[in-house]
Amino acid sequence: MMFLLFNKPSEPVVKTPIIHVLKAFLIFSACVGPAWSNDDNLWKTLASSREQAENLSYSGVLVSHVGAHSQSSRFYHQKASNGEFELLEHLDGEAARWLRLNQDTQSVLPSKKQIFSEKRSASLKPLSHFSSEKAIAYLKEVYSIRAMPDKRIAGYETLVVQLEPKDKYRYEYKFYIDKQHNFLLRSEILSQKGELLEQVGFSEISFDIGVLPNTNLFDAESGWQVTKTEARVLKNNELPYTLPNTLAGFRQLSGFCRSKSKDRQLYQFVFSDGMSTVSVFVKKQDEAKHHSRAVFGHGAMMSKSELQGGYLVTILGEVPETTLNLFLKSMQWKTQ
Amino acid sequence: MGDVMGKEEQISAMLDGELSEQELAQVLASLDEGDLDAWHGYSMVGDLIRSSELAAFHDEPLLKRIEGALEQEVVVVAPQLKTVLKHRFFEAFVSIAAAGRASFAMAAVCFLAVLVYRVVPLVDGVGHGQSVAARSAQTVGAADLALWEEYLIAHHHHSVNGAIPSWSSMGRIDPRNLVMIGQVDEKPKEDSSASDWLNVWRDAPYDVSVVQQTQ
Repeated sequence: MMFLLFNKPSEPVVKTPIIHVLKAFLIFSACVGPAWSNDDNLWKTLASSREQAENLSYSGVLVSHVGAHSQSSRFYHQKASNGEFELLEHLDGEAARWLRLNQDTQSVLPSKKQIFSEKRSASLKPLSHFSSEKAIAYLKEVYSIRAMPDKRIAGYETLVVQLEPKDKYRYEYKFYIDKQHNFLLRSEILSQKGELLEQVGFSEISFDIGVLPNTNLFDAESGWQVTKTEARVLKNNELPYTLPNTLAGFRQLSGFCRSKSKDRQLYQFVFSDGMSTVSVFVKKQDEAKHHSRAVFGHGAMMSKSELQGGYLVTILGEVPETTLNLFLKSMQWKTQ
Repeated sequence: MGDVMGKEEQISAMLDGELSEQELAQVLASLDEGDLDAWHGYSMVGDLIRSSELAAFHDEPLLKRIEGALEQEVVVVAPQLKTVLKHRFFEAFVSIAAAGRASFAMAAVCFLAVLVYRVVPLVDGVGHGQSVAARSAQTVGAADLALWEEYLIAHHHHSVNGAIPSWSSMGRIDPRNLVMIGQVDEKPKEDSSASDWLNVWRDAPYDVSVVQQTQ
């Protein structure tokens, strides 16, 4: 293409409008091009840090600030021979552990000798929704990405990446990525007014943890109470309502019927914009019980309920109330 | 009960000046002796809340605790809700007293205690550059909390924070709350630990302005 810009000296210079256009285009590309590729690199760095969190072995102290609540936990992650293993152990307050081996999860409460187990849905494995070009293209529709000044976190120099929402339906994210390991050390969710709603990150971390002696789920002995939750993927025709496939950049992913018993079933449908998630819960209204329709909030998480027909509809997600309202208004009930 | 509450709400709205002339005439025409008592009670409660002179007769340590707690809180402001909240402010008293659990005076004290210990800021007038003048509170029943927690856990299990590893999602959950799931009826009605981690808002906490209280 460059040859178009330079004519041989012996030939008369003929300037046509198209040459001007091409020149302008090339100059524009030279100026703007690096910025585009820089954004792409940031998206790729972010996606890659997500992969590193799965591939590396590490342990550290994880501190979360959610609303007014803060919690410190010891966290272990190991890529073990039997799969991906994680253990989160609360350091504050009553002892509690959370374990994950691949898609199987357990919450263990030693003082009450209780275990809550659940299998995660493989269909919602986050990586599959984020690392692809298509997923990043979706994210680009609703967030702008930019690098902010570097910061030192937990002893590591980090690249700070900001995802700024392009509309009022989602919050801002900040990610602190360790430059050495390309590992996400801290994530933050901020309101549209810049208030810090949630912060989860490592206050100390080691990537040299050797081999954990036990990478299995907790084996309940006699005297322990185990509660299992099964999650079955729902088909659209099982739901009494419909929602658009895409709503303000949130795309339909999967529906689940989570059940502890035949009598205790929970219908959940999940939407995501690739970063924030919205769950839609529908429950047949129990005449005997009145449920509040107040807005509940915990950190960035917010939910709103509404009675629609004979159902209590609850929308919950790390999104502003505007988004909850949009989902509530968009429910279309099938003829019953 | 539904009718009774309907009338009480109407009286409360009337005191707040929220009824049209026609509605006002209808309510006044339908007032019976019990309604007049309720009206009197609401007025007393309103006076108690609004009047610094009346407040001066009340328990000094309690007032100091309330004042201290209010000063420490960041107030979340929802100016658009001013009238709604004002209305609900009275409804909270009404519901306590109507249940026969306390007199109106006791209801006022109980309500203020709830205000301090169970959180939930509110407001008025801030949109006009004034300091916070009123607050309201939302208490949550055991069934509400248990259902909300169940939803929260379900959401975290299936949330798709694309770029964020699972530690981020799970680090936000308190596994101790799982105990409550499936045990709605056994959960204590006044769960003091819940207020440590759960805030309950009547309306959007983050779509609104945040100001430091300047009383």
